[in-house]
Amino acid sequence: MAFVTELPYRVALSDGDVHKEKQTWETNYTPIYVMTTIFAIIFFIGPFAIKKGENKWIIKTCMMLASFFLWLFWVTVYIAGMNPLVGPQLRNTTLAWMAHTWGESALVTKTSGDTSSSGDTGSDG
Amino acid sequence: MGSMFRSEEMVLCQLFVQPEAAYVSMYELGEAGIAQFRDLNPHVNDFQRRYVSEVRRCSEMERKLRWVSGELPEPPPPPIPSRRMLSPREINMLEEKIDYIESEIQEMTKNARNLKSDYLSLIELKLLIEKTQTFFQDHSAQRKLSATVQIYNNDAVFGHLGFIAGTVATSRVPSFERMLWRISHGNIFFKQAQIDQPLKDPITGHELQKTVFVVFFHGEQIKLRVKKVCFGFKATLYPCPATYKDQQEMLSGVETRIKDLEMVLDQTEQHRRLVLTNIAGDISTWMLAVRKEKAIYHTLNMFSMDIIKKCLIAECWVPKSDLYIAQKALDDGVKASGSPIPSILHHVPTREIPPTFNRTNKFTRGFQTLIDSYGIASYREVNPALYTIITFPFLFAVMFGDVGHGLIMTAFSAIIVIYEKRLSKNKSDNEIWNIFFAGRYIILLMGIFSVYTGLIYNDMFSKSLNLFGSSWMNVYDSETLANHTSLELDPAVAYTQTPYPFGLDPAWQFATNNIIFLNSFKMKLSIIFGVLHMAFGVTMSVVNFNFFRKPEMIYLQYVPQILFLMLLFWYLCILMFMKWTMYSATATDPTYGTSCAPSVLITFINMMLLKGSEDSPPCKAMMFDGQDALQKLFLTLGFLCIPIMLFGKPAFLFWQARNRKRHEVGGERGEVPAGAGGGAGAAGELLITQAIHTIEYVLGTVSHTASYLRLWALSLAHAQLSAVLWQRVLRYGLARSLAGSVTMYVGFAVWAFFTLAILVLMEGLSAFLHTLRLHWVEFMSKFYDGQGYAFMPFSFAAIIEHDDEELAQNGAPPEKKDEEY
Repeated sequence: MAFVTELPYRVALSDGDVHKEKQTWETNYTPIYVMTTIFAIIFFIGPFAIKKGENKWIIKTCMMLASFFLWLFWVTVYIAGMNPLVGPQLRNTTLAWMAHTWGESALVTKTSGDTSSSGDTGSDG
Repeated sequence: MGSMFRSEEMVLCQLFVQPEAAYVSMYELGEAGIAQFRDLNPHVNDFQRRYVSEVRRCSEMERKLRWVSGELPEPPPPPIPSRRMLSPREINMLEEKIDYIESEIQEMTKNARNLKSDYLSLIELKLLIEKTQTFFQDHSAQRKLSATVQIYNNDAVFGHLGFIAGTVATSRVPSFERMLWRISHGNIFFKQAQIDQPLKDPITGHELQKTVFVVFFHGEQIKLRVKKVCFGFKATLYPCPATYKDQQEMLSGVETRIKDLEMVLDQTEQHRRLVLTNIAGDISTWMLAVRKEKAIYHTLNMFSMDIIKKCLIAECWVPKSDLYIAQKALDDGVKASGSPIPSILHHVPTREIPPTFNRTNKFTRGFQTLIDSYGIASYREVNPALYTIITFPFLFAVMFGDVGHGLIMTAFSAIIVIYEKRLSKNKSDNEIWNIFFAGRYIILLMGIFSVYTGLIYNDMFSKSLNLFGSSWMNVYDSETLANHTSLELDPAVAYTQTPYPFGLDPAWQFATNNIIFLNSFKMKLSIIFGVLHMAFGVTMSVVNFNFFRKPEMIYLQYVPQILFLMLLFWYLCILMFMKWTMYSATATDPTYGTSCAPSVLITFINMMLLKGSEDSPPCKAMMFDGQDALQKLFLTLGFLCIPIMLFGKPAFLFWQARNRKRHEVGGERGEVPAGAGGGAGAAGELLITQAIHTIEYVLGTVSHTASYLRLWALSLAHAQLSAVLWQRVLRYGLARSLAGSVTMYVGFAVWAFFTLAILVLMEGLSAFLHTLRLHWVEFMSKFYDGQGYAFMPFSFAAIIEHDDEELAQNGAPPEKKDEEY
């Protein structure tokens, strides 16, 4: 398997372990609002949409239960991922591929980068 | 309410019907399936009941019909459903017709059998003649005897020898020969030739191997002995001429007779088939009518006869909402019989406990069956099946979360649901298929929820989908990457601080420390779901207390129970949420950095053991100010709930009894009030029961909460199995050479087989079982009483469904099983 010796684009960090340009991002809370709104609509307003039918109470109960549990599942996963205390430990080939294919994520909102000389190139696995 | 919230209200009714009107009324009630009759003659022998002759007659008809349908070449078509009832006159005619058909078919079968025996004999004779030709020719060549044949006492004589020819079963030939040898002291000559093709026995239909034999002997005595031996060995003897000319004559005669017989047999068979085909279409309908009639008479046997008023009295449980149907059935009976005396439906107020009846449709029936398998709900208790419709598939999906496998399940069950009408017509004996078919809606919901949880776990056949862009990125330059094979991404620099919008980030899929992150997260998730599920269960008991008018129990039992659960375990969940939000890799204050994040479990254990811990700077032992005091408060409040749980209910009942006694003693002296009866004994028992319940609940909060960790365990196992299957099986086919296509072909087959067999079927079954256990034990033990008995109405539909199973000896409809398909 050929090893990529040079990345097609340079990430914002320089070589060596002395200087590092640190980028900061702010947490984007939009997904929480969107998802909570969607599930809240199903939970609170959905039952009123079912007006007649022999099984209307069963359908209403199911809608409320389902929307609550599904929202709870999603929000727990989201909150657990908001402040990760460890990051993924990846192989160097995978990291190269990630940088090549994924580039930078579309949801990232970057603020200006501060140059700080904290010697930190990431720990070994 | 037509919903499944609680079981329906039942009414005990007494019916007064005239015997003439009884049959029609019962027919309508059987079609409606709304009344469960009680046996008012329990001590009467089956053979002494009123309608025993009618039941017997129906049993006879059923037996004849069953025999006739056994004679049909192929299974009869299903019955035409008709609500038209047969009048007694029509039933008599049907009985006669069935009699006639049965005797006709029996006679035809007997005739056919006789003809077949004749045919067999003729065939044997023909073969015998053909084979023995060789014997005689042989013989004459050797002995060169003259052709004169003397008929000697009607037996053939060849030269000076007499002979007997016949056929015998091949298996008996050695012993036959030995016997003949012994009897004749060796003075016989035995020749045999096996018939090559096996012949069909007319009676049993089995194939027989036969051997042709000729026994040559000299003398009368030996002839008698040989004949006796032949009789003993069931050999059939045939008159066989000795000369060639006579043999040919006989042969042609036999052949003509064989041809004639074949024609006759053909025609008989055709005639028989014609008769059977004519009635094949009607048999099922007749059988249905006969069964219904038998069921009606069997139920009528349960009525008691009032001799004075000359009417039948019945007692039955009827759902209150179906009373009008019962009334209509009675009125129809009166109208049909033309009797001037009306039938009466009379409510009987009673203290007996009615049966539990939950009205279900094809969708809810499966879930109701799951709950009923644990125990039928007590009368008018809150029904957990309503919530099981969603919580069961959801908890299953948490353990099964995989998009690919979920899609397979959804597709499979969707196909069954779409074709359910056609599939339900073929009644299958295969238990496994019946179980899958009965649970098709459960499997469909489980599949749909599994797709959702699979998307959240970001697991599709052990691969992740990157739909929104990963939040992790590479921050290392090419030189660092070249020098290290494995690098960890620091969330402070390599993370965009916004999580992947839907579920787990796809970057975790490649991580070698994937499990560390997932374990911590899934365990916390399981506890959160567990505490919520259990709190829901405990709150269900409020509904019961409210309905059964015991509001004091809400304060004496529910409040301490929910406080104990929430103050301790929901506080644990809150700690989890706090740890997730408060501690971050990008925190400026190191107290809230990654190295200072406390273990929630250790914090909880220290709280329970009242163990303090010290700050080790820069990390603090506590997560927020006042945590220690708050925890101690929660612990105290929680433990204060225990004595309320232990003594609340007994104290209340005791106080209630004392109040009642005071009132009664004020009224009439000397009368022993019922409340205080039993005195110390009853109170002691009550205390012990309450103590058991309290201990069960308190210990249950701990053990059941931990039990929910199986949600984590099974989802981990599923993910690992899926990953193993991909990496060790499918990946080897993903080579780049042409030979790799062959490996891929084989590898995919193996991978697909194991995916279905192990991951979908085995893991699915396993997760189903664990979810069921979580519902039965952890959820339902918090509020469910389950002491009721099922409502089993007199219903034709139930009887027809069970027509393949054994009926009770006296022709009663079989007991309705728990599962209805």
